[in-house]
Amino acid sequence: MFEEFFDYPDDGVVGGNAADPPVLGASWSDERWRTVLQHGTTRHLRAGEHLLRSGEVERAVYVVTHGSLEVRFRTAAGAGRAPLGEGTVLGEVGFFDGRPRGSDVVALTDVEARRFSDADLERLATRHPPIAHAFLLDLGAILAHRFRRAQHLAQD
Amino acid sequence: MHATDTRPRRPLPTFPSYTQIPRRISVERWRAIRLGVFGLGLVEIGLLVLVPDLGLDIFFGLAVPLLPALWVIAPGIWRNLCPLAAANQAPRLFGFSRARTAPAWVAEHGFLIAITLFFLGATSRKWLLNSSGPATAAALLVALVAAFAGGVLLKGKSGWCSTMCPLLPVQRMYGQHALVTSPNAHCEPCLGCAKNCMDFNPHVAFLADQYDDDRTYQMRRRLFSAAFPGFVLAFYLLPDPPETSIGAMYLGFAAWCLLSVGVFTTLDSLLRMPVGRMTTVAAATSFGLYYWFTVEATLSRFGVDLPALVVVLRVLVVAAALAWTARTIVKEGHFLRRATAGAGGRARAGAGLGRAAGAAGGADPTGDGTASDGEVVFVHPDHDQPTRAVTEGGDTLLELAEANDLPIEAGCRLGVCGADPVAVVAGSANLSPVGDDEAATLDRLGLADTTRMACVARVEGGGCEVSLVPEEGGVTVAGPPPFAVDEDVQRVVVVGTGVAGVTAADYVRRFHPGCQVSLVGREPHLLYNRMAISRLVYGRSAMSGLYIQPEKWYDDRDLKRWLNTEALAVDPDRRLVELGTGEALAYDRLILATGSAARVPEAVGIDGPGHFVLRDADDAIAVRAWAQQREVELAVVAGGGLLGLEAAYALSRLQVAVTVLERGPHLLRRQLDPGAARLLRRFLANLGIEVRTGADVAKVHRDDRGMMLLQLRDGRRLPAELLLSAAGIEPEVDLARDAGLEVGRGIVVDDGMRTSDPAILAAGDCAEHDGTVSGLWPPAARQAEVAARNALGDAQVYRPQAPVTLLKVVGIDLASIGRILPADGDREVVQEDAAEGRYRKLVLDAEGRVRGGILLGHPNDTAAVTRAVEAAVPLDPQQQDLLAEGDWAVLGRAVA
Repeated sequence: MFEEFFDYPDDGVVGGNAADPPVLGASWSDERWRTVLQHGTTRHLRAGEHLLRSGEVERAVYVVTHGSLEVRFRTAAGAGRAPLGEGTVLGEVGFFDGRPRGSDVVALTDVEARRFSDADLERLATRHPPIAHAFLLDLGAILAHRFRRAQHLAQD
Repeated sequence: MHATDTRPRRPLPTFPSYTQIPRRISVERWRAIRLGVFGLGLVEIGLLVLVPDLGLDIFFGLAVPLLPALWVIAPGIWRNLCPLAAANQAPRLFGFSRARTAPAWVAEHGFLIAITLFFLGATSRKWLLNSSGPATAAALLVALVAAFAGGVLLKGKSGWCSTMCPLLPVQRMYGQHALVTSPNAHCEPCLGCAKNCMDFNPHVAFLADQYDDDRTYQMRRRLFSAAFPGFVLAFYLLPDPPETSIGAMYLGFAAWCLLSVGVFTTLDSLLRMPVGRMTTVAAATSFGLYYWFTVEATLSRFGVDLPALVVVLRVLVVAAALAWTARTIVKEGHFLRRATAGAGGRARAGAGLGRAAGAAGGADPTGDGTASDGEVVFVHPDHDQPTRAVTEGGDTLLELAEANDLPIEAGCRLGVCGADPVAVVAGSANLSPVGDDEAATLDRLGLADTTRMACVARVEGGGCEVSLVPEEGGVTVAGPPPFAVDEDVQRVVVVGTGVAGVTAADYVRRFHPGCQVSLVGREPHLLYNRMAISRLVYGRSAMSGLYIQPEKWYDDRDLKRWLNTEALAVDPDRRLVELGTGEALAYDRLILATGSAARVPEAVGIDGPGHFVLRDADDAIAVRAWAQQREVELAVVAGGGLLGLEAAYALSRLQVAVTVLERGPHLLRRQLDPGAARLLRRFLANLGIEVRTGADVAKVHRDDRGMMLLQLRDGRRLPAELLLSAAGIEPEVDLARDAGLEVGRGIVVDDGMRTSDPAILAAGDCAEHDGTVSGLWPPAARQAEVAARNALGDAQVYRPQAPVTLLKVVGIDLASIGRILPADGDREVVQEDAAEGRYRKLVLDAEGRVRGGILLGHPNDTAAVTRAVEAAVPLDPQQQDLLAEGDWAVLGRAVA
């Protein structure tokens, strides 16, 4: 937990701080990435436009391929915001549970993102079951990682 | 690292680690100072033994009272200079540490050991150490030896400083928000020896403990914070032995600590606060209380009797405690934002993404709010920002909108049904031109000139802006009819409210504004998107969105509707249509567009509970209701045609296990050849839909619980809780037959869509033209136009076109156009990509004309192949060679 604060260079850790955040498709070949990308759609945003909107229901996950965004959220400590950049994976919680988004993600610059809806994943699964399987497992790992981190941060 | 950092300053992260904090004092200097402090420590131990009073005054009168302040203001200085830390790190510095990884019990219980040692040490001041220099010296020596031994055995600081040091819990609590940060000067490099290490990241170590996902780890540290204010109070309020017994003193400590924990827990429970709020308050309370008492005690110890100074110092202490609390609370907010931002957005995509995405090009917006190349900007009145979808070439507006989950309906996907009108606000020149079918549909819908049918408007380059809600266009005012309208025709009755009936009524109105037009329909609905009814099975939107035109459209055209009304009989002699309401409608011309009914396979016992067809909206609603009420898990679809497959997909979306039974050797016999059917079957299998070919239901058994057992003609059996027959259509001809009209499979019509009675015309699924019942929307709409115009005196001729059928379920883009199997002399061009599950085939006649095609997974070729088949476009040998090599763009060029 809190790896970004304690990114120790060694693995001999007493009790934790060792796990790196999971990476979507860390070991995928370029070819596999191309196949995955072919099954998604490309979105553009202008600065100031929302990629995700709190309360909106949308079964889709995004990967930012160009530009900068900002996540805006509320916790018990008040409103917060944090920058997000290229390569960031967003929206997998809503993708899995189909429930309303929990935060806003707003473009700070012109942005390009790849969008993968549940239908896209189903389409990928019909054509390339192993790739879809790997995609979903990676998303699951990301989700599990965030769950572990978030469960003690959530302040109702 | 050994020198002061002189690099240009970059902005620090909010919570920098010690490697990121600028170093004002070099490590060598720290070592020199540390050596001096260590020496002073040894001198102090000597004084405690040799000159106890002086030693005690220095130690308990000066050193100890200053330490909490140092930990609050600049804990890093202490962490770098502490003599115990020097002893602990000496083995590493001089290279004789065994540097073992700390055993699990150290990691698990180190903190408990530390707080136990702290409580024992601090409480023993009251009955032993405060008054005994040698005892204090001995305690310090024991601590030095323990720290040294820990350094010899264990790596990094895990043998003492970061685990069992009795001062560590207080240092972490007081040092959680230092005024002055001094980077760790011991660990070169960091060995990752301790969790949430204070030396690694001094700003968040304490908070990280509070939010740790190990509840026991977290609670032990919170317990210490909770008890500490009570401990401080007890230290100063309880009398020292021998004024009380040692046992009573410890009981007093326990009572105060319990009281403190109780207050902490109560406030923490009652007030809605971030996790770290109470520990912050507890820390501030502790050092506030400590100095409240220590100020007076220390001054008194050195003979200073200035009550005013005590008051001033106490006020300063309280103010400092409050200020520190406020700052620390703010910091927790920053910490939470950073930590939750990490929880919400730190996962990344692998490096391959950048390379693969780079090939597709980056964002290239114009920056002026307009659409950039390949960018389609969708707007909707309910959305407060546009959706900028990007096409990499050839997508229709419908495909783009669907891919982005935008609110749009889909129907025939051929521009005929009218389910998906959109308004092209800008960039219409970048879309494919309007074809005949689309133009007819746009005429029928009567929307503004900006309207396009999204399913056939293909992005051909550049960008465009599209409103998903088309603009009203008002009633189309037709010019003078292109034919002489028969003025004797003043009353036209249309039976049927499907696409043929409504299209016919619309055309009658366009060319004969004064004519009375009546629409009679059995269904309770106005014209709706029948091709989308399978969505009623699994969707949540019910009928909303399925209606092609609003009620106002009918009002504007003065079309008198008789919905939910049976046309019981037609009297050709009196030219009357008798309605189930008891009324009769007189007509000068009657257009029968009665449509068709689902054909039910001949199987013993098939009719009964759990058996359905899927022909109209009510059928779909009934299927959904049955599946929900019975919690259906097993369904069988009898029929492997288009409708059967769409029904199977709809049921699979309800998490029902679906088996499709196909009588023939492969699916979609009328649309596919065996090669394409094989790929399609694999697709369906991946969707979880099982297909059995050569399978036909012979008999249906039902048990008392509603479970069916289907017996197939080849003897196989399979269970089902829901059986859906999708075995084709039967034209609705009863009305015509009873009226004495010529009826074959359908109502027989000539090229002008006239029945055997010249005053009665027929169009759509009920009509049999040239021995064929089409069963598709595009021919139905064309027949309706012909029938309507001819009813008014025109002499239109219906020319059948190559049938085009499309199947669109998730993962499958299938188009079948015209002749799919070669006739004598024909040539086939076939390309199969089994890995991608894609297949495309063209059938060329002996003269090289395109006669038919199959496209599976090639939606972008549909338009060109359709046009090529419809126009029987000839391809020369060179073009055919290019096709065979996979260059299907040649078709588009040939069509153009």
